[in-house]
Amino acid sequence: MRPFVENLPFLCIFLAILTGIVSAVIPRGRVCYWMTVTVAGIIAVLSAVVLQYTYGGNLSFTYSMGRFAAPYGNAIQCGPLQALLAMVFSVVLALALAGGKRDLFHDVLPGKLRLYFTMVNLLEASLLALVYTNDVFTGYVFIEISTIAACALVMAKDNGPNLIATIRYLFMSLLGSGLFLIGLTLLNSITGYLLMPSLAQAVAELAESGDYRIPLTVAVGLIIGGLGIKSAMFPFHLWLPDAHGGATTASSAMLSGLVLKGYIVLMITMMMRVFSMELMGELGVTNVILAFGLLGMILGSLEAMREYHVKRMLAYSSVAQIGYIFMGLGLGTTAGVVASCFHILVHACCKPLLFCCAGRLSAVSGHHKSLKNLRGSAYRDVSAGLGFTVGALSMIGIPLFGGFVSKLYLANAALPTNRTVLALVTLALSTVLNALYYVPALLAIWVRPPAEAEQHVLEDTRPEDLAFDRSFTTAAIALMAGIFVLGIFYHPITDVLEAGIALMGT
Amino acid sequence: MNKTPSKQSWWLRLVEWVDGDREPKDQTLFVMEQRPPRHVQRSDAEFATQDKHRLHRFRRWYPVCAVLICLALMGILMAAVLTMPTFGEADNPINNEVAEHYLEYGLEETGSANVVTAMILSYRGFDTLGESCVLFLAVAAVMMLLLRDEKNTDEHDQQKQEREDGILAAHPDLILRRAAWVLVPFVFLFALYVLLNGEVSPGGGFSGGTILGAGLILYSAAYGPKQMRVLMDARRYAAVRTFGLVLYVLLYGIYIFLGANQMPNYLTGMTLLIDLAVGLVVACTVYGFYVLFSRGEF
Repeated sequence: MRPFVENLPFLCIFLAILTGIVSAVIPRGRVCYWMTVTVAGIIAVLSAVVLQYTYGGNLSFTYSMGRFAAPYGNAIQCGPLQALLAMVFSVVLALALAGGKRDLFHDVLPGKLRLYFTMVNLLEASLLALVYTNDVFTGYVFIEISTIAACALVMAKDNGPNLIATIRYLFMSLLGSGLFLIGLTLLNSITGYLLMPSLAQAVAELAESGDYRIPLTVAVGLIIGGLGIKSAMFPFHLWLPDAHGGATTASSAMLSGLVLKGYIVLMITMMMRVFSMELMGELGVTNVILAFGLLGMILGSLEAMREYHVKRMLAYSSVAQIGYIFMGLGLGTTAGVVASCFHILVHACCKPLLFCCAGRLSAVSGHHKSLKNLRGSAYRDVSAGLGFTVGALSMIGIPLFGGFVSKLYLANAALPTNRTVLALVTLALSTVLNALYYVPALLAIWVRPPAEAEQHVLEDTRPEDLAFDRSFTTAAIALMAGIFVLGIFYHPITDVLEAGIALMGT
Repeated sequence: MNKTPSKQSWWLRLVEWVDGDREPKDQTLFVMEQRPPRHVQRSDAEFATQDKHRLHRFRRWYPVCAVLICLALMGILMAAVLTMPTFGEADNPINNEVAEHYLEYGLEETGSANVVTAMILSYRGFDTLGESCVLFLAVAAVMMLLLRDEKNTDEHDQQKQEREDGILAAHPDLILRRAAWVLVPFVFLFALYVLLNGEVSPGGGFSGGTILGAGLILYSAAYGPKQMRVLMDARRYAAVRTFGLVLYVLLYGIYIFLGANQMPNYLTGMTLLIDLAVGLVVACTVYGFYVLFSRGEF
């Protein structure tokens, strides 16, 4: 008999799947909404219990999915890092739904809300499975689930440009999963395993003996490239602005804040647990990741500066922020991975907050999206204005906000490597660029426009949109609190991350 | 841009940029809902030539780039495949203790003589559960897009559909009806056989479910939607689909819980039930796609 708490990760995944299936037959959208939010809350609490158990005991346990031990059956592996990520992801999912609730019920037809919540729940199940998986093929299966669910989330707001964006997203996503699958088959045929620990052993032996060098290199490249396409690594990011910029508020928040992160977490797991950082450095993969990350940090911000559509601006900013994460991974050190994981948490709090606030600000401005029409909108909903400000300042990297700490850790991680100057200069440049598009946006929402211009915008606004939005305000306050916690009390969190990453290889 | 930026001083442009005063640039490749340009009205001919030019350039470069990328990828994959272990050799890495274990202990440990069933439903059942969820999600996504609602269907479409249904009902295809009348019972019987014998012979949930779905499609094509609704309407369809997957998830959840905690296995006949559940999910997926793409409603 194992301790009961070890069953919790598996129970979380099954709970999410079951809620998703059941919500497909519940006709009332509001019931589905509350069910989804409650289940996400329960999952967060259960994950917190697991986190306490694994971090307290400094252990990482394998849980066989069935009665067959590795390498014969499926298994999941859970340590402090996994539990923390699962907890944060489910909290953010619930808050993103709450923050975009009004837009969601406005954008999606009532008859189809149940399908939307099916997608959300199965998306959560797939995120949890991607975080916990100890089997590469299980990873692939749940990548498929999150692909379909994510595309459906974009499609839920059913208008022309969104359908085109969905199709582009679908094609790029399928290309990514296809490359990942080809990489897996190559890897399987030269090692013979699918479970990560056995696979890691076989890969280490191959790296030692030098057999099958080319297939191994190609497999690593395809797996990283496939996951890179799906998580909008810089040159493969072109699908992102349309998909994230056009979708309904809650979808944008979840897609930017969580879905991209699911793939990155799987990539980190593959790098740490299967290929090992030494092999990645030897094959030159880390250099490529670093180069793409640095390019993404600069060019994503430059693209964002050219945007006047507030949600597309945020979407391009996601490209830049994903670049930060890849830069940390590309350094090829444990400190770099810790910094990346911290940035995953920071971005998972900031981007949903920014998207929800942008959605709310545009709702109180007659659903206009250009910054010009959002002028002075912060006074119409002060909590949205404050939320946007907090999120933007964190993105720029002002001390006391979460973004500052992750930049600090990234810079620290770059010091002992031989790419210090390149990394630090890019980091500084990217920070300036971030400020260059977030500060104008902040000025735009906080500066009152001339009275007649405001009157013009208010004519398009429905009175029910101007009313106080309780669920949004709650979500915004919670996410703001999250950013401050990450920015001020970051030591316990980085301790958990360090412990988790140290336990990951074992 | 609408305001010919070259004529403004750089300072004005900077102010405009800081204020966020310019309209967002429309960067979608194909524009569906285009707003009329507000300032400088370009002539239609000018528009057309410009569009043609852009499209022409795109058409010229796109195939070249695509071919180059494909060739590069093909080269890389060829290089990998050529240096890989020869297919079918006895001492390949793939023929390790895992495959041996499946073949040797499959029957003993899982109770199914069909090794494929043993593998997909017992050893790696979690992956199969994920795949079943993929099927469920695929139908849900298509429903989201195609199920008739006030946005994607107007009065005209509705009337057209009714007219077509009327014509079909008035002139039934006699050959198809007779053939279906003979075939459908046997198709269902065969589907059940394949479903229930997945444990001991080739078959199982995925193949049996597909046959079942094909039978439903044949019946629906021959007898029309009205008759089909007697057998399966939207509510019943949703109920069956959900029941299949819920049954699978619950059974498998209990199975994993018992197995991981090393408790005795109470679920000896589980494979049969899971096969049935998978069959229901697959049949509903196949039939659901047919219905949604052909009519958009059940």
